[in-house]
Amino acid sequence: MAYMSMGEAHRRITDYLNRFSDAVSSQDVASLKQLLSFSSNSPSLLSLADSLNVFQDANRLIKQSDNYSPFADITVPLFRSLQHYRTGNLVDAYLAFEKSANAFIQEFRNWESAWALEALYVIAYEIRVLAERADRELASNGKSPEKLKAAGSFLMKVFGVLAGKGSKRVGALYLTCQLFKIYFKLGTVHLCRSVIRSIETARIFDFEEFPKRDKVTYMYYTGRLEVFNENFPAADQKLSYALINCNPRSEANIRMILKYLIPVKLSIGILPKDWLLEKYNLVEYSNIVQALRRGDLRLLRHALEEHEDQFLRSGVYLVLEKLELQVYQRLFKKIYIIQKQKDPSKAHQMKLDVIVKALKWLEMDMDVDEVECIVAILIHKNLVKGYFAHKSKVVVLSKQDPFPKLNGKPVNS
Amino acid sequence: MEIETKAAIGDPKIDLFEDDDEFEEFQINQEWDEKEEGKEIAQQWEDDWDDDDVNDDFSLQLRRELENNSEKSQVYAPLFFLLLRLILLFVRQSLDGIMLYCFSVIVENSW
Repeated sequence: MAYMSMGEAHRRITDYLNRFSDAVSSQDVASLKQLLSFSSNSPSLLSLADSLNVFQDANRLIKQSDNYSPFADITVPLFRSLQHYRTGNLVDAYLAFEKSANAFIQEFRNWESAWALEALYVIAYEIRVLAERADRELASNGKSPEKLKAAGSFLMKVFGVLAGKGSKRVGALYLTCQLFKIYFKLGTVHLCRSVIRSIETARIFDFEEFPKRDKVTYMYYTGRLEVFNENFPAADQKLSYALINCNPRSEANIRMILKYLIPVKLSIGILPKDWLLEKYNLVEYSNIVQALRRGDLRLLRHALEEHEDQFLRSGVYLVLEKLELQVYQRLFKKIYIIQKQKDPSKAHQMKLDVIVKALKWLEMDMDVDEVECIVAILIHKNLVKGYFAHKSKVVVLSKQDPFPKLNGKPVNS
Repeated sequence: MEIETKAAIGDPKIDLFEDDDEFEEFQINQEWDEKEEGKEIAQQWEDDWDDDDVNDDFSLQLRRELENNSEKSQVYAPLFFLLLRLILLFVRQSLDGIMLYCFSVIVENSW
């Protein structure tokens, strides 16, 4: 750190304080935002931190000036936080920042218009990110990480401030998305429910009024929740919305949406084109798609094994495993077509033995009884239309549409 | 979400939670026009793939498997028994017995 004189430090501090009070008095949110964004690591904030270490009496400076003292409750802890941030004490940085943010919210409430909303967004973001880093610090010192949880509670409070009739309410969705990120990170996704309920049922909110970027993020997370709960039609609707409306240049985000949308689409009988998988590097799904297309149970098994860890981490493993029934259907359909080509009059009477042979070829050793069981399940779930001639070990297929397509609906549960 | 990790590691104090798929922040005030790309991406799905075509490699192999097995059992089983009888023949001493036996096998097979 280059040597800074006392005078220089003093100047930088008063500079900041002037910019702060000017921004508030002229309602200049663009300037105000920059004064709060620690994680941007802007040179001016970093040198402010250094200045605070050199000129250590900033508090007196703030409290003694008519210009600065109105915002003392915000700037005093903010400065403290910045100093801790600079020296890498993230836990202390978080605590001080939360105090400052709390004071900011009180002021924000009193401002009639929503001019400072973007500054509030910056504060919400910084709270979350500082809390994450604080938790890492706690964990590395063998202590219990609980700052992110605290950040969640704090942001819920902020959400409450925005959930009113005024123009500030359009900020509620951004807050919601920050909360989602916290809850997903903590694994406490059940906490999403109350804020979702507020957004979707409260009369003060009109979903269309929210900014597009927040709607996309919201639909991504709520879509993921629907996948988690296996509500595939709802998951399809939400994730597709996110996909179509996402910034085309945000390739990482598009990839994430697809990562969850693809298993959903597969579950309702729709396949992604290879181009999509290649463009967004989702090749872990290639063999699964191929297995569905072919009716290749062996390939499905291999694909699930090969990428088991990945699928388990993202929580889609069970969804993909259940595709097995659809793969069975496709295999049986192929057997049926092949037999129809040989002997059209007999094809609708499929011997279970033939299925046993096909499965054996696919390295699945099943006896006739097990095969009968599987066929029974498929009939029950309307993937096969037919009935058993049990004694002759034959399944008699319906002459019309023996293998009904899913038509965009998930398999009956 | 890595809820599983908590159980696996055991010591809850040093657990950290991850979400591999945290959405990246969009810039505040970022606007974009996604009309063209949105349409393109919406067309990347196939719902008519479940056709009746069985000319792909997998289906051809499947067909072979189903056919081979059934032909085999029609040809190989009787051949097997024929071979067994011929082997037994060599054990017998009498030439007449051999000729009589061959005759009976031929009759049986053409029956």
